[in-house]
Amino acid sequence: MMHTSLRQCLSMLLLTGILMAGGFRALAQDLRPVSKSYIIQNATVFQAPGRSYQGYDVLIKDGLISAVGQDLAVPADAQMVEGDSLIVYAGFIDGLSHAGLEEPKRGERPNVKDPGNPPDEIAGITPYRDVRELLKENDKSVSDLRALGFTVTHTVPYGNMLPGKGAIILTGGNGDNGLILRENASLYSQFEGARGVYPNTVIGVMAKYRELYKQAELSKNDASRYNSSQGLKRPMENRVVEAFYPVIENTMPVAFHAEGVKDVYRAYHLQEDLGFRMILVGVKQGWDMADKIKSSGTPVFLSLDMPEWKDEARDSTLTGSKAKEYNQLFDRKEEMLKKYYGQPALFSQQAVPYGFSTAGLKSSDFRKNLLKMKEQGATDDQLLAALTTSPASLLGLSRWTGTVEPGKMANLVVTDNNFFDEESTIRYVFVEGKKYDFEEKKKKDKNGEKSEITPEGKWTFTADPGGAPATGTIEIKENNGEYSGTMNYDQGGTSFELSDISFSGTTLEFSVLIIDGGQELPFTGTLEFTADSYSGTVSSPSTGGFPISGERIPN
Amino acid sequence: MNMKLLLTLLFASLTLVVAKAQETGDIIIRNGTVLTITNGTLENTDVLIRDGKISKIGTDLKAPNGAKEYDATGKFVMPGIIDAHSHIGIDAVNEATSPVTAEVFTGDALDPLDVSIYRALAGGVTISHALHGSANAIGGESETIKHRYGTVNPSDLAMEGAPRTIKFALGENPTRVHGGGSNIVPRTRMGVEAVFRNAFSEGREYMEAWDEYNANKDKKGYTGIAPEYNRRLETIADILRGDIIIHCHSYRADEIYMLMQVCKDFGVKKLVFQHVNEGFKVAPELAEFGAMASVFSDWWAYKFEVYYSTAYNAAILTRNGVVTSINSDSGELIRHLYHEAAKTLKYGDLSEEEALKLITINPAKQLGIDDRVGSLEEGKDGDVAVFSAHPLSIYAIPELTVVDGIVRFDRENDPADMRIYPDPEEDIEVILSHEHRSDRCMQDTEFLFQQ
Repeated sequence: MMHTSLRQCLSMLLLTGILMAGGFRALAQDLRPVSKSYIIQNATVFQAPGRSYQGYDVLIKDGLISAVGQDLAVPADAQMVEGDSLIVYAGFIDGLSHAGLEEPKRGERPNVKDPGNPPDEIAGITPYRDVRELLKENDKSVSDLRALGFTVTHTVPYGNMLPGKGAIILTGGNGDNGLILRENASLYSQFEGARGVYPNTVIGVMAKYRELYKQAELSKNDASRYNSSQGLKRPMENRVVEAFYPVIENTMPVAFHAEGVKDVYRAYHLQEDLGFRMILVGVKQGWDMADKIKSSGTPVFLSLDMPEWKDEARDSTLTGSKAKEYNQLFDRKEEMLKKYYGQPALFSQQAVPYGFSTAGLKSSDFRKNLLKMKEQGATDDQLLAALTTSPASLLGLSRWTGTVEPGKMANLVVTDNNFFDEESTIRYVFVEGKKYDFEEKKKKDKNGEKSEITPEGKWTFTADPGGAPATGTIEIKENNGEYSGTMNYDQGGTSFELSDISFSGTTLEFSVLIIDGGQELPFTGTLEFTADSYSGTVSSPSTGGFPISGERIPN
Repeated sequence: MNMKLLLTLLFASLTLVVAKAQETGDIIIRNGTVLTITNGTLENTDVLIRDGKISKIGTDLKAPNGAKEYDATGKFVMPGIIDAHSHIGIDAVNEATSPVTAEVFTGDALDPLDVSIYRALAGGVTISHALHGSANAIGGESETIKHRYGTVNPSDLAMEGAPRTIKFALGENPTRVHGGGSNIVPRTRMGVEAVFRNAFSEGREYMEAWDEYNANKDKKGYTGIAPEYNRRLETIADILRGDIIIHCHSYRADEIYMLMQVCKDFGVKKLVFQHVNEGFKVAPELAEFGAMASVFSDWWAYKFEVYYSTAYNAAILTRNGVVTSINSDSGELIRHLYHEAAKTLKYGDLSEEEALKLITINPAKQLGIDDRVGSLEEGKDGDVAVFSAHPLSIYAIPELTVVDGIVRFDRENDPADMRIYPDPEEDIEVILSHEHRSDRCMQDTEFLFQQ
């Protein structure tokens, strides 16, 4: 009985959905903005680190910053953005991410007959792969990065030793010119061995890297001899080796992912032996190498994925030699944490130019880590430089982005407070002139105290596909930034797990697979939350979108 | 002194060590009993090290300005101990995915942060042979490292100018990993021999192809192209050229004899057997070939092929004229190699000098570095160990270890925590733990045995 009613409900939903699909789809699509011109008025503008101006306007036109100054004339077609008490920074630039790419699932160990001689794909040797062919512009990873303030990122394929070629992309925009700022930006390389097959360890990877490089040099030479003479034995065609040609020609750098100090030295070891141009990405332990990095002139991107610094209380119950040993160990651990978080300050002090990279970073740690770096001596200007001007210059993008100056791409981050202070929220991000809004996250509740809008808790829901509305409850839980949830139907008492839940600003996105009578209906939903209610839409490919709303059920 | 100040000083001194990693030092070790190994025992003698080299051995030497002074009155001064078989100070031991991996090199995986290096220094050991493991019939090239603990730069560990060495392996390990694990050759001891012969033959063909190409490539009308570059065969060709010393993991006499025959057939002469538990059965043959042997003092019966063994092995080999050393193959044993050597006084009646040679000049010969280390002679590297009593005495305590004239271990100044980069996320509990396994010979092969 219960199942029947649920099925009826869903069939109804399906039917109305199909009938209405056309209309809803049109609504669901982004409307073209009325105008692509904006003026941010009367804001504090950080044109570049150390150069801020109060009461300035920023005029945006055709994806570019067309003017910055006081009391700019407002063009007739410009949308106005009230900038009072807001702060404008250049959009942040990220040295390494997998933005726009699906994270591969760790599958079974591949079954290879001879583990010493696996196919290139399984060996993790696919330097010919172009990240552009893998890129999904609408992947959540792109909007997540944008929500942190990053407008440009160097995205590279997932993989092991040689995953492929990276590209520098925008994290959004009007899409007229595509996301790609620079294709073939790097040959991405790691010391990551393949699972259970050659090259499995760092010694295998280093040996293979040297072999491929030397093979490429020889075969490039043979190819040019073959192309200009007659009667020569034909050289073998090999796309793995050919992928190194631009590196050998010095037209493409190697982006080496090296986190620990030993890996950074190993990358230098290869680089010095083979002579390629190198960018170091994802560096975590570089503090003893500042001199070397500086004198070699290698562009370096420090990882924002930091060791967790818990506010641990020391165990005070220990006594005698145990207490002594415990405290010594604790001191050394703290000393190490200070090395990690003090690294940006150290690099700035020693005038080593550096940027940051987000690969591996949990979004919720971004500002937390920046604030800790500040606590360990980095100044606001140094951190801003590491997010804007330095990476622009290290990646050769300064001509186009990195500052808030006329002629630069309109990549901007607009916050309600100094970004490097505790209380600060991003209100808008502009990517090549396209405006993304982020609602005020904190608001005062009735008692005048600040309360955050959170989807956590129990909520009612009423989903109205246009016939009999479906009702029930939604329960959302949060654990360290990871959300989980269930949807419980009154009709039939059935519940479904929500998946792919993300919450940003006030917007919750989720997927849910409704199964009934063998039918599988994959729905996705987008909900806008206030403190105690929400509304939004759910949709599936077969039904299109329909409204859903609900209220918080108090504890 | 309060705790904070003490710790600040500790960190300051550590930082200093990091900065000085590649430097050499001056030190004079005064008035000790000097066990030179190659020139007898000298009482009340000074050893002066300048710029990392032994500049003078004698009495009442004048020390240069700024040289460290160490009073060794009543103490014993010997050359830094050398371990010809170890796996400390490396991040990867086996590239176990193929029976032949001659192209890999443990020097690419040096781990200067490994605290085992400090522990080895605390046993007077200044040099170890960072061997590739024994999973493959032909493993990787191996680095000879100096225990310059305190650096974070992996290359600082490498003993510059030390000859190239490579790991071979016989018997159960390669057959188990590749035959048993991957169902490929070698499954049997016959298969291991075939792997060697095939590899050497391919290496020879490769060498000839390149020789032909290099001789003709600049001639007019030459239509050939470069043979496909192959680092595995490059290395094997270098073995055939005599540029690399083979160090072969071995137990059984029949196999030891087999490898000597293979090497004879291909004209390979530089051969050292490792473990070589049944070496005593073929000692005259080893001596005749000129092969050397690096053995355990008394460690066996940990797998089937290692039952037929004797603590007299080192003595029998020595008496037969085989250059013999005693090794650790262990991050723990390496700390008391002087005890291991001392056992040969009981088992086989070696002289004190012969026993000490097993951990000094003989391993140096096996690594091809005996012109630089392994004895206290003027002009050699300033690698020295000082003991409180004769190092073969069970009462001896290592007091001071010097590498290139720099004090790397001093019992008078031996902080409890010598880690260089502690884990910033570790849970701190004050308990005993066993972080180091004693045997790393088969590290990085575990995945092959998981179902």
